[in-house]
Amino acid sequence: MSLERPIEARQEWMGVLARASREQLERCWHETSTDAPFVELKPPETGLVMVRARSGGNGPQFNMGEMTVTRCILRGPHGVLGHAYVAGRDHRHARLAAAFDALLQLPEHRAAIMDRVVAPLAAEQRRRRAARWAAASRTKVEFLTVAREAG
Amino acid sequence: MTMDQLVAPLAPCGPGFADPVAQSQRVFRAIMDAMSRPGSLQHVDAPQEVPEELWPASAAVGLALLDHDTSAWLPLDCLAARDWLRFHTGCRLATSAGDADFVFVPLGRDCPDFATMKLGTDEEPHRSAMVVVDVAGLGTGDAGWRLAGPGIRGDALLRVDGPAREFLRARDTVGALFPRGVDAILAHGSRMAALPRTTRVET
Repeated sequence: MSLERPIEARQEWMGVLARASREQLERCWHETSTDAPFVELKPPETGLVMVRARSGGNGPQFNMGEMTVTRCILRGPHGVLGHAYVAGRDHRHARLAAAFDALLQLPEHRAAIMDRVVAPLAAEQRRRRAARWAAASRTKVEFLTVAREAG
Repeated sequence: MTMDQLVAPLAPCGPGFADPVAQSQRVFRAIMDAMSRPGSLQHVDAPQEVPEELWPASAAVGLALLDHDTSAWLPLDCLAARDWLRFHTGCRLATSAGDADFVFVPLGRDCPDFATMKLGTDEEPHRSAMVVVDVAGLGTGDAGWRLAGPGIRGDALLRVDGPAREFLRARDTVGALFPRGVDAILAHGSRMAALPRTTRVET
C-alpha cells in the first residue's frame, strides 16, 4: 500500500475492513487495545444503496439491484473522522471499521495497525478471492459463434 | 499530498441527535404543533452538541427538516453551523437567501428581506421558504405581541425579545402577497414558536 497515494491507500484499507468479518475485526480490536476516545457523530444506520453496473463491463449502465449497507462516522483522537460503509446490517462491524479507519489516519497508529490488522486481512481476502476465482474458472464455458456463410 | 494531509479536515462538528429517527420525528411533531397553534411554545429535543451560532431549537429544526433535496442559507461566516448542518443532513448550502428553502438567522444577525426569499406562487404557495430566527427571549404571558388568525381561538400573546421589531418589519413587507409568503419559526434555547404566514400580529 503506497503512502504516496493517500486516497487510494485509504480506499484500500476501508475496503479491506469492510470485507473482513465482524469476528476478525473484533479480535483485532481486542489486540489493538487502544483507549483512544471515540464519539459517534453518526451512529450506525442501515439503509439501501442502488448498485449500478455496466452490461459486459463496458456497455450501458443499468441498476443491478439494491444492497443493504450500514454506515457509521466516528470522531477519534485529535478530531480525526473515521468513516465506514459495510455490507449488511451489523452495527458493531460498522463501528469497528470506522474506528480503525480513524486510527489509520493518525501517523502514530498507522504502521502498527497496517502490519497487524490490515495486511493480514488483505492477504486472507486475496487468498479467498483467488480460490473462488480458480474454482469458478474451471466451469468457464467459451461461447463460439460460427458465422453463417453469406449466400 | 502526504498521508498526513488526510487528517486535515479536523472534525468541525459534534454529534447530532443521539437517537436520530425517534428524535427527528418528535421534533417534526413539535413543528407541526407549533405551526397549527401559532404562538404556542413547543419544547424540542436538543441535539447532543450544537454549533455555537445556533440555539438548540433551531439546530434541531434543521436536523429534522433538512435533507439532500433541500437547501439552507446561513450567514457565510457561520462556519460551524454551516458545516454541522451539511454534515448531518447532506443539505445544499444556498449562496443567497433567495435560493434557499430554509433560511437560518442566528441571534444578532440581520434577517434577510422577506421579499427576496422564495415566496411560492399563487398556484403553489407551499413552494416557499421557511425562516428560522433565533431570538433573545421567548415567552407567553400577559404582554407582548397579540396574535390572531387560523389556529388561534380568540387571540394569543407571545413575548419576543431581541430583533423583534426588525423581524416584524421584514415580515410585513410580504403580508399583502398572501397566499404567497414565508412561514417563520422563532427559537430560543430549546423552545420555539411558529408564526405561519396566516397569523396576524399586533404589537
